[in-house]
Amino acid sequence: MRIKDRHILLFAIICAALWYRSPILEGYIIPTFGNTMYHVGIIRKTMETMYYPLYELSYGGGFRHFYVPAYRLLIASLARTSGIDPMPRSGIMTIVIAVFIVLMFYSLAYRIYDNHYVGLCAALFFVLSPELTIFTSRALPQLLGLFMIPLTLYFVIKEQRLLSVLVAMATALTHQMTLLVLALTLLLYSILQLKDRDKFLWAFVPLLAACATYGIWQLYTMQTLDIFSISQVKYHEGTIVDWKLFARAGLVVIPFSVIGFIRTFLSAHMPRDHKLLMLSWFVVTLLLTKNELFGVSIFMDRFFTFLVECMVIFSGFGLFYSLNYLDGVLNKVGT
Amino acid sequence: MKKSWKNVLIIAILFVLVIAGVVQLKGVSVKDVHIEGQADPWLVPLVAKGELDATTWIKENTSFEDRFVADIFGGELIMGMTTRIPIVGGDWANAPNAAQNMADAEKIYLTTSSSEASSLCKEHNCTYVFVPLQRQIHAGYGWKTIEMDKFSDTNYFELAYENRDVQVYRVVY
Repeated sequence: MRIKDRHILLFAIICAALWYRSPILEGYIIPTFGNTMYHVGIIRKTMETMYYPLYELSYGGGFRHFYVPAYRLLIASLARTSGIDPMPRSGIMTIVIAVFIVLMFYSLAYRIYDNHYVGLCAALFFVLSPELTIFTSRALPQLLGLFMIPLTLYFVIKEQRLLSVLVAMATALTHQMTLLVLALTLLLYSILQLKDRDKFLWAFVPLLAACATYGIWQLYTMQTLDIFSISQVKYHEGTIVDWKLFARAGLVVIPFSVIGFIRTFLSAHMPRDHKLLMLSWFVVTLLLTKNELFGVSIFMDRFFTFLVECMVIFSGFGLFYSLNYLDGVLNKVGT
Repeated sequence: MKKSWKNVLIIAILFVLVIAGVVQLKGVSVKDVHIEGQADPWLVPLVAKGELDATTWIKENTSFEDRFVADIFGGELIMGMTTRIPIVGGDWANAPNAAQNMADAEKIYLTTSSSEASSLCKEHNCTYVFVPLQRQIHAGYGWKTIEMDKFSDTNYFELAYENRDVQVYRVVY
């Protein structure tokens, strides 16, 4: 394979992502905001007993788990096979998964817009977004969830039915909020594709598989399908996303995501499916981010991270379009 | 416009965008002007090095049946490094009395009364209290300063371990 300019640029973006995350391993402990050490505890318990614990270590312990196991089992198995303690192992995997997310943004943006440079611009904006940096620098299941969403959508758009079903099922066992984002995105997308039976099924089957997987897991762990009695719902955990928090998407990301959004839906060349998928992803994450407007008020700030993911893809196209436009203007100046 | 000038202009625009993004991400200090980065504050350790060191002692000198009074970050540190159980910290989704645990943990740290702190510890079957020395505690209701004097009352608490960042007290039963 010949190394091209875009490979060098992508490598440079990955290096920037690594540079920012290197302090994770330089300190005496991984960043602790967001319950990171709690997950390390469950990972350690799994390694010590060789069973995924059904009962919590949190808040006095002795009650059944709510969390899904995929992220913890991934770290536990890697820590076990490498012989590295689960705390630094979580830090190492944070960096590795973050790099995979950069590659995923590149791949998904390339697939949606059929242009490598849009992929590069999206990867660049991923690195420059404070919100995505915060949530991809901490050892949390959401980190893996932020990888699983674009991965599932990539397989849906590529019409790889088996892979999209398998990845959707894995997402269901990775992170509940991620599952909700994915399930609603696929639901809206499948509704928008109702006229085309095949395309409807390509989106609806992974959705069903993900929901069934999660339902079975919750019945196993909590012995109920009721999700409304958990403390996060009861006490309305979450922060309203105001303009100040919205700016955390990235001051350079926001204007280009607006341009990208408008140009995406004005584009005559882009396939209809791709537009509908991006529209579904955007509408769902926007509504979840502003869920306080419907009286729900749960995890608005956490859903915001998934909205920023979508915005970064749009902004990649926005920057590419703007530079192309500028190129055209400068060419006219020259003639 | 000449192609070379056009390329320079486009690269300059990209450069400005990258610089603006990095400034927002990591912050910048030039003379008296200081812009705080938006990502950096979320990526700090919060607990002190000595608190991490204390978990080695905890692992070697306590049993799985022991329960710890700790704040959220101390509790998660203890969970993460030793799998011992604290009364706050971790996932509260399914916890039966999470809010009460938070209120009681905060009360144990903030009260001036040794007997009240001890009774609350016993109510939660706690055998140890994890007391950070270099930072405030956060048990769910904001950062608060610990009222230290009560822990020196040996009728209720015995010092079991200490270093420059933390003291661990055994609850006298």
